[in-house]
Amino acid sequence: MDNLEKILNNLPKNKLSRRADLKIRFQLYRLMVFAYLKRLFVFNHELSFLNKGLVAAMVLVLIFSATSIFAYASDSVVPGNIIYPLKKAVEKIEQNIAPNKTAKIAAYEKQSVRRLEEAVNLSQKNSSTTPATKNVKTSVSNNIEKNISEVVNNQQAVLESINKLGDYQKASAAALQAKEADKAKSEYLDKIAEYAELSEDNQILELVNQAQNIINNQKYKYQGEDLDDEEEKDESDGKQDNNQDDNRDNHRGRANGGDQEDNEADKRSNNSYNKEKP
Amino acid sequence: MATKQDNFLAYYNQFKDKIFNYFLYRVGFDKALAEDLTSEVFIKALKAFASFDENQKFQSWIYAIAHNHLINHYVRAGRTTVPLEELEDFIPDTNNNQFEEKYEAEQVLQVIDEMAASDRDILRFRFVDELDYREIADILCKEEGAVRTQVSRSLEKLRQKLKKI
Repeated sequence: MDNLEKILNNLPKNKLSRRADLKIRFQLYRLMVFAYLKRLFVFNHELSFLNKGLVAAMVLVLIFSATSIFAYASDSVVPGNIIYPLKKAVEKIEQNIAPNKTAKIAAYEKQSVRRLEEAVNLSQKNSSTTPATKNVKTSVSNNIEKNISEVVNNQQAVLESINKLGDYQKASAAALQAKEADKAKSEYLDKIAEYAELSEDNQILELVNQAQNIINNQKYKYQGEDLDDEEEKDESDGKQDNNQDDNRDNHRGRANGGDQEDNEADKRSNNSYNKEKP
Repeated sequence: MATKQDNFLAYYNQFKDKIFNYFLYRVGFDKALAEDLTSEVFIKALKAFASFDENQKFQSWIYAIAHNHLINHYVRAGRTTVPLEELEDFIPDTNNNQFEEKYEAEQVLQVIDEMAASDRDILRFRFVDELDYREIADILCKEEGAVRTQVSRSLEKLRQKLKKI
């Protein structure tokens, strides 16, 4: 066999069948996808120190964001709660990034309603607290007072913002929304007053009365011009007078144990209203 | 920019048939078994691809993996050679002198299969897998000169055996 090397060099070369090729490719692709997913989601030893730091930072940001969202959305996060400052911070940011004055007014109103919701929750807690925990009671009362004061301040801020809106129609629409919010606020204040009566907290009752007076007698104006139309004004004046009288009678009567005469209460509330009127 | 995985697929396309042939000639031309072993080798290679040095020749690397895998297969199967049952079907009819050439090729392969493991391996690396001396030296962890000498000796042994037939 002289041509041995030729025979050896011409030995047949087979090809991998199409079926086997596809089978192997499928297995390779599957492995590649698994490896990619593993790199994405598994915190393994191959991660460098920098990557580990990055992942830890991302986890912290995620936890912080979730806590902020919870704090912002939840009514149960009230003054005294550990994440309450986070809630206030998010609200502050919301207020600062408001794209225009109308949005800013809406943010003020939303905050006011929230403060009153919180105050209702706190009042409920306050009324159910036993006398033995007097310190807790005082702290809760202080927080309720703070919340009501913030609502009164926001009311003033809304009034000024509407006055400076720069467009009568926009101002009118903003005033309408503010009035809607005022109705909700008024309801919350009533609830707070009820709980204050239960817990015999005259200081809060007094504060609620003042806030009710301010809200019910709020006159929204644009560059000095009253934004209420005449009919609405008449109607609301009538309702407000009645409501004011009822509220004053109820709250003062409860606060003073029903000892004061109705006329005296009316006089006081009128004086109070004149002082608080912006 | 091509990723390392894209590179691996390019290597797979380039060497899939060569590795299949490597196994085919070493498992008695059992195509199904050769396909399975080829698949296992490429999966093994993909898993270890992160450790592959790009400056190294991929061919030497993949043949080294295939060689070790084949040794493991022999250990599992409990034998180092296989009967050439499918040899007749494997060698195709190519030209007018088909019968004579086919017969000669069958004889050569049968004699190679009966040779000592070291001679058999080196002849297959050189003539079936068409590896150069450097690559064979890398796979078998030997000097290039030693491989060159051994190929020459094994070829001479094969020639002598064929003369006796």
